[in-house]
Amino acid sequence: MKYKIMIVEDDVSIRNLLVEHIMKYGYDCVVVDDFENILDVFISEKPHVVLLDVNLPQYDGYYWCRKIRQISNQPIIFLSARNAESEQVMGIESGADDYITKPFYFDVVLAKIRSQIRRMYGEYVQDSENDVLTRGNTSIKFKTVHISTSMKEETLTVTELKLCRVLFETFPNVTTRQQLFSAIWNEESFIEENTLNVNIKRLRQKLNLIDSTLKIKTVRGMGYQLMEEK
Amino acid sequence: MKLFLKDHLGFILIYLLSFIILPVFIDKLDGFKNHYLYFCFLVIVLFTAFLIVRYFRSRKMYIHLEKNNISVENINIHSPNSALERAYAAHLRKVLTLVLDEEDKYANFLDEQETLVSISVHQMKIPVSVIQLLVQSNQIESRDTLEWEKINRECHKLVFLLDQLLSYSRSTKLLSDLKIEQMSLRKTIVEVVNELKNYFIENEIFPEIDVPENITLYSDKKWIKVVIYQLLSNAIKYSDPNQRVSIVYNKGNIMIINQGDTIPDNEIGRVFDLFYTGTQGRKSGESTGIGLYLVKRILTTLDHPFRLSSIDYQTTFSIDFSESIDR
Repeated sequence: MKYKIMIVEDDVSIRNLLVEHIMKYGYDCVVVDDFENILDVFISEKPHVVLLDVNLPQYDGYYWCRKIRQISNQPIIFLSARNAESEQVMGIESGADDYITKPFYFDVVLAKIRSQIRRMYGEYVQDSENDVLTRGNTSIKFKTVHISTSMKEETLTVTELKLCRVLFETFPNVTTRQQLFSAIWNEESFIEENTLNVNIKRLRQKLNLIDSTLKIKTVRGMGYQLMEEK
Repeated sequence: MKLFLKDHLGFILIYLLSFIILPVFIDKLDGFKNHYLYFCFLVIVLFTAFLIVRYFRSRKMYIHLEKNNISVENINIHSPNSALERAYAAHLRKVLTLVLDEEDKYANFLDEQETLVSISVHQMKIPVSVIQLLVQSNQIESRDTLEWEKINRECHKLVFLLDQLLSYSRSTKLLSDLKIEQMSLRKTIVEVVNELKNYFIENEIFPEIDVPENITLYSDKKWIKVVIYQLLSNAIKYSDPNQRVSIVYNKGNIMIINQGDTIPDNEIGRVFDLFYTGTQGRKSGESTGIGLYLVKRILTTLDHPFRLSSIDYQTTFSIDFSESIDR
């Protein structure tokens, strides 16, 4: 079953980018063009999650949020350029489930959509294609936190898994150090400058151990590149 | 002319009384010549009494005229008596109205400016968001990751500057906006550090936080976060590569320490001036001279003493929270 996301955003560029990206991850999208009848669109389309901009022509997002809340419990996520805490409080008070401030990251939007769907419909989003990621003869298994070839298998640490994922996703392009740091950044204890080097070193060893055809090459001044050896 | 006559009516009357009615009266009774001294005495008594009454009727006005510290609160004269005093009071009220009107106009102008800045900044953030989203969706597929990264970096700078502008414009009404609340010092700092995640990573500078969990600070959270945000981004900006920015708590003080070029002694006092960009700032061309001014204004208003020191390639900014901390 495909979940349907309704996007209420008056800036066309942001709207299109959002739609494009959200569709890529297997959701259906409904966009609103007529900002006077948001509620009617909501009723006829029955979306699973609503992304709602705060600054809209005619009535603002808080108004529509309250309107939708009168008839439905569907998750509503605010998108706003205002990052004052009072605005966020107002958003939540008018009945929204979450709040994202612009400028935002696609990953954040998707993560929040997923968590709302999970909370509301009680099931984990089936990212079957995201469960296993294969490049060359090597696969990462996210559920068991393993990296494996057809013959051998190694367990990864959480940090290694995060690094691996980014390297695999950008394959065969260069992954910048910034992308990698960003992936392993820890919101509570943070990271040290040598965390990356140490983990890359360990990852190289593990790739070796499982006879992977993949190699991590250092690209000076940029980052790392995952390469396949023929 | 009318006010002049009204004010001098007393003089005219006493003059008529003293020099026309009184001599005629005395003359009728017993002859003026025999009582010349008595006449003089009477005139002096009358005049003195007149002056005393006149003084007391206008006393408030004279006191007011001699007052040095006039403010909006004490500019009014309450229940004026004499004609002149009443006129003076009425005039003061007019002046007061004028001052208040001007003040109102100015306040409205400030409000308007603030709204303008706020609306413009939020409008400008939208195209920046679009650019960042474009970068994100292109970065995944493109070979020129590094080029996109550069664009992303410039976007971050734009967002930082826009936020700074917004904070500055809001800070004009700092005092009326304060909301003192209880917060966990460590949590607040960690929040700001995470907001600056990308800036840390771009510069490959890493944070190190040594602040106990159990410290509660009473202050305005929003503004404290603005202060820490500015200080940390400065610390990152002026750090040498591959160094750490430390945030250390010690006996009620928070210290933000970075390793980088020493700030010359003659500049240390001036870095808090608005639009002042030191040698370092001019070199990198990224300094606006707004950040530290904002920090000073906020910390002064919140009543947290602070100190900046810089020796041997180590710059420390410390804020003294000891008065506002609950342990």
